[in-house]
Amino acid sequence: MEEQNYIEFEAYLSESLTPEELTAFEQRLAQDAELKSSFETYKEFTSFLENKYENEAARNDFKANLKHISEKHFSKEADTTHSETKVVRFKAWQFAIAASVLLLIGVSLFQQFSTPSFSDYNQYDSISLALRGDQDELIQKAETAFNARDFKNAELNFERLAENYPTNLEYQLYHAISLVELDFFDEADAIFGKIAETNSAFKYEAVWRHALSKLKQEKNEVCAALLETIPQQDQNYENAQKLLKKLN
Amino acid sequence: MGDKKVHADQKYIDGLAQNNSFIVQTIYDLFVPKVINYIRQNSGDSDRAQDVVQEVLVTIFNQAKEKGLQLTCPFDAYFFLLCKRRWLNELKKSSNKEVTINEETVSTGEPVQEMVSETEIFDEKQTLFDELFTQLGKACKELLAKTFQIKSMEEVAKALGVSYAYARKKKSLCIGQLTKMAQESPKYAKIKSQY
Repeated sequence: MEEQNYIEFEAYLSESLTPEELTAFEQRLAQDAELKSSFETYKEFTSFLENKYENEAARNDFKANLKHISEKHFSKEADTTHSETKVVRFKAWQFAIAASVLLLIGVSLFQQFSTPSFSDYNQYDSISLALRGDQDELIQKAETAFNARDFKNAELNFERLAENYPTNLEYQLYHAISLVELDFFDEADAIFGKIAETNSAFKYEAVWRHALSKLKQEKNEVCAALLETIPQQDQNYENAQKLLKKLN
Repeated sequence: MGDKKVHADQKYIDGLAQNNSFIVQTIYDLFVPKVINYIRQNSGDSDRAQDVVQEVLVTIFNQAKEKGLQLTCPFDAYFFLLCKRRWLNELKKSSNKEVTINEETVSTGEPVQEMVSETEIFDEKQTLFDELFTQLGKACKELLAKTFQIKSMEEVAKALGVSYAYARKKKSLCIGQLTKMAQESPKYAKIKSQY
C-alpha cells in the first residue's frame, strides 16, 4: 500500500497521471491527512535532492570562493592586530635600523627599476589549502611541496587534485603556477586563460599570474596587455601598475 | 512570507546565490567584523568566527538556491543574528553549562526574527535530510544520484542497464524510504512543529 502511494507521488510530480487519475489522487489527498503529510515529506525530499545534485558544482565553486575571500579577510585582520601591538614597542634606535633597511631596499629596487624580471615576483606566500576535516593526503602533499618550492612534486600533485576536483579553481591555479616555474608555459597559460574566463575570486589572480608567465617568457607586450585588464579594486592592481611602469 | 515586501538588501542574497565575488567581498568588509567582535568577546577566537561565518553563508546560499530565499529585513541584522545564534548553540554544545542568551539586549524586530527562524529551520532540515540520505542503502543512493544528475529517466535507465519503468519505480521507492525514515524521526517531527 505504502509502495503504491510512493509510485503515485512520483507519477504526480512528474505529471504523468491521466486526468482521471489526477482527480482521484487530489481527492484522496484532500480527504486523507496522513497521505497528505506523507506526500509533503516526499515532495520536500525531492526538492532537497534536486538542490543537492543540480547545484553541486555551483556550491563547490561557492565554497572555494568563500574560503579564499575569508582567508584573505582574516589574514588581513590578523596583520592589523599584530602590527598594532608592535608599534607601541618601537624605540628610536629601532627606527634607525628600519630606516637603513628601507634605504637598502630602495636602492636595490632602483637598481632593478629598468629591467623587471620574473624572479622579482615568484616569492609565494606559504599556502594552506586543507580544510578542517579534509582527509585527502594529496592536498597535504601538494601544499608541502609548493611551500618548499619543490615545484616538480607540487605540479604532479596539483594536477591530480585538479583532476579529482574539477570544479576547484584554486587547485588549477596552483597547478598552473607550478607549471610556469617548470617552464611548461603553454599548458600553464591555457589554464590561466580558462580561470580568467570565470567569475570567481581567482579570476584576476589568474590574469596576474598569466602576465608573470609572459614576463618569464620575455613576451613583454602580451604581459603588459594582460596587466592592463586588472581592475582597480583588485588586490593585484597596485603590483600590476608598478610592473606596467617598469615595462614601459 | 510571499506577500511581504522584499528588502533592498536582497542584492546580497542574490549575489551569494550567483557566487558574485564582489558581493561576497562586500559582505566581509561591511558585516563580518561585527560578528568577529561578538564571537571574540564571547569565549571564541578568529578561527571559530571564520567557521561560523562560512557556515552561515553556505546555508544562505543553499536556501537561496533551493527555496528562492526572499529577504524582508535588513541583511545586517539577519546575518548577525544567524551568526550569533549559531555561535551560542556551539557554545552550548561544547560546554555542559547552559549558556544564558539575553535576547533583550539586542533589539531585533519581528521580521528579522521571522527570517532567521525560517533559515534555521531550513538548515536543520537540510542537516537531517543529509543524515538520513547517508543511511540509505548503496543501490538507492546510486540510483538517486544518477536520477538527479542526469534528469532524463530514459538516460538514467540506460546508464544503469535497467528498463525505464523499473528505474522510475525504483526512484519512487527510494524517495519513499527516505520519506518513511523522516516521518519516523523525532527530529523531523520537532522541525515540522516549528513551521
